[in-house]
Amino acid sequence: MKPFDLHAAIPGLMHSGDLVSRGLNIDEESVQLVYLSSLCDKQYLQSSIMQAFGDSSDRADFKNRLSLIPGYEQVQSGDAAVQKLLRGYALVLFPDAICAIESAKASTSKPLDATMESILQGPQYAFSEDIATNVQIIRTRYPSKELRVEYSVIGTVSQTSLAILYDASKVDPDVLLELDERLSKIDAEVVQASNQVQMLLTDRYHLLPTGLVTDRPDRTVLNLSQGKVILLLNGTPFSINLPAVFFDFLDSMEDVYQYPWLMRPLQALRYIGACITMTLPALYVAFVSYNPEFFRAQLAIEIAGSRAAVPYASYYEVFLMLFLTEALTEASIRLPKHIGSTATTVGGLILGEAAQQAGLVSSIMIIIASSVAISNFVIPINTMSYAVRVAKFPLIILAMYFGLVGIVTGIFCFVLYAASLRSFGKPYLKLFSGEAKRSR
Amino acid sequence: MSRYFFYFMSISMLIHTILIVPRDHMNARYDGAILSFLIGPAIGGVLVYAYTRSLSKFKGKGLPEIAAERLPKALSLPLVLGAGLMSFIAGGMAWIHCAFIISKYLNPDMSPYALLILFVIVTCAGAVQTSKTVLFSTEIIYIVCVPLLVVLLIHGLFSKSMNYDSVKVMLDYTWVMPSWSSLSAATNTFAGYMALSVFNRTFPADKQIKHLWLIPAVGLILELFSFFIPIGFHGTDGVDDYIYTWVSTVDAFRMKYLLIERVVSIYLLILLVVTYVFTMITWHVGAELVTGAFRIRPPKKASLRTQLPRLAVCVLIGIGTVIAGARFDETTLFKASSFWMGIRMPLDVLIVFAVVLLSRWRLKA
Repeated sequence: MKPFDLHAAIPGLMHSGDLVSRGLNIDEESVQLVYLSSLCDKQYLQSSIMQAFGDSSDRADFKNRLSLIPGYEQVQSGDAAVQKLLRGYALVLFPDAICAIESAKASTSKPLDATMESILQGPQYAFSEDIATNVQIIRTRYPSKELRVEYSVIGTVSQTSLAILYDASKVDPDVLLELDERLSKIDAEVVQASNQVQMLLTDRYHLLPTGLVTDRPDRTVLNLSQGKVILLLNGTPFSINLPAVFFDFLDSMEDVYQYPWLMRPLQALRYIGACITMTLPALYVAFVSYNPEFFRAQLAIEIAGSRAAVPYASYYEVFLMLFLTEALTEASIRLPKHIGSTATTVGGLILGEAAQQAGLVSSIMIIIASSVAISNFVIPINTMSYAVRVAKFPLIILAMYFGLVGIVTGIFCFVLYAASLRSFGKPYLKLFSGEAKRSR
Repeated sequence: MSRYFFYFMSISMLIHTILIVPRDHMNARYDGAILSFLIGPAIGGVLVYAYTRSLSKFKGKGLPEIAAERLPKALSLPLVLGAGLMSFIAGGMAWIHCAFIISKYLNPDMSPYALLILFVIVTCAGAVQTSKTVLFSTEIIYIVCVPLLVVLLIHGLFSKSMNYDSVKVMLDYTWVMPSWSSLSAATNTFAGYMALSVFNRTFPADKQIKHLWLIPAVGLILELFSFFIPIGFHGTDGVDDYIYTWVSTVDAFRMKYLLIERVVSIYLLILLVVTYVFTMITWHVGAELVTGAFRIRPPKKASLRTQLPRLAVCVLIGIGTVIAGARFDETTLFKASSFWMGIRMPLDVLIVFAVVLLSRWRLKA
């Protein structure tokens, strides 16, 4: 009896420690069972393949019984077989064929709490880290026969599976075409995060995000009903929604769930917050160093008085305080949760009183630094709040050189830049784009 | 899409009435300026009507394509090139005016040329964008800025310092035949329709632009405001003492309860951003027309490489603008812009006439 040539059947995997290879013999005839123990469910192997093996009388009978098991496929030896093994299939090697039986462990991933975009009254669970669960979540929330799910893989090494979902009756076919084209151009080796996919799909050097990444199934389903394309990446609890325009990033899901008269003011608040966090530090520089005559006299004297102890030009102050607040924000994101509270306490002490009492910054600057930080937090989508955090620095530099004229120039450039972007053919910043309100 | 037409028309009217035109009207206030407010909108209205209606017969085409299609090259090249250069000069003029005003009132320590260089660079960046991008950003800035400007106008109209006796005195000079310069200044207020020679490409063909009567009406009101409010504030002879009549007038406005007491600061910033939009539009139109005259058509997707010819043209004109700004002082600048408006009006009429003729002619075999 000749042994099976594992080298030819599954090249390159022979030396894996978790590869299990067992010969099964029926009356002088033998087959070989191969699987990766780390990926496969042993209980399931027992109840399906071993059960079939025990019941069969000869090799042909065994093969017939295998073909009745759900998730059965015949594969070619070589790379195709290796791919199947790596996805949690068990292979049964016959002399003339290879049968693959899906026996991956059931995912232990459960829907997580929605932490990225909290809302008060509305769905509280987010996606899970498993793509099948996520597709299931969307299917349950959007039980339409028009919902199409397509699978593909991304990343030349990581081979991360990616689900593309859309409502066939509402989707814009141009978006799908462009998505296909851009997906085929991605040549990254390892793809692990939704934001990474979003970046790879759009231009790498954009300042503003043109794909919306969210962990809320309800937002995803709303976008689906608006004819957008949803990407789900295996291993992340986020969905990518395409195309996305500027205004989407300043919408909270609560806007849809509440009375418009209650939510419009809050929406306005968010836009004002975005403006403040972008322009306030630059305005401070311009007002203090260029055009103090702008304010009425009392206010101008008040500001100048609070700066009396500060020995340097206003933009040093601004950069110092902004550096500290940004560093504090960054530290509280990166630190382990247990140390995080220490950072805020220490930082709060410095930012609050000490810097002002030491005469390093004016007391008004402290108010400005904190309002910049707080206003930044009202932006609901994280990527946009990153973008706005970055966008305020060019404005400060323009204000340093040109004063208020520089700020107006900077804002004009920002508007122009945002208007010049296209998210999968859709204008990024356009008023009255007339999006369907029926889904609200 | 036809709302965009009103945006760039009214932006152009605003810029002309607050930046360029008032000086001419103030100089001619006893010599028929008021009558020119009635004749100017009439001529302007007819030109706007003729131009929009004849361009709407060409579906999704701009002036370069139309001229290339229906005229021999010896005629189409100077027509399109001339229209493009006129658009460029209008924008450059506005920048030089604006740089002088800003350096006088807002950044007194800064040389106007430094400002002019900043303005020109940003405008070049704006002008090389696609037509749609230009229209989208125009809309946003329009919606944000123009209501503020209207509030300021109304504030000035009901201000206590506004002396209506001077206005009544001026009305005695209504029936004086206008001079060429004040007539051309009043007509030039409506020159924004020239932008349609490029933006016609982006407008859907099946829809006519409606409510065209709004344009002469609004233009008339703006011109009357920009003429009578300064006279009401400064007096019939006092207006002569100021170079930039409008800015000095707004400087006299005072908002009692605003953090910012002097309204002129807000006004200047709005003026600046509106000028950005105006020059972006005119230079975009200029760049498209000049490159279009040499048969370079706008690409489907703009990238740095496809926009390179436009950028080159804009940069050339930008350098020209900065040099011109360094050469001019205020006296020569006002003389130059008044002279420019005087020759621009007949040229505009010529272009409109040509396009009307082209739209009537059948396509040559």
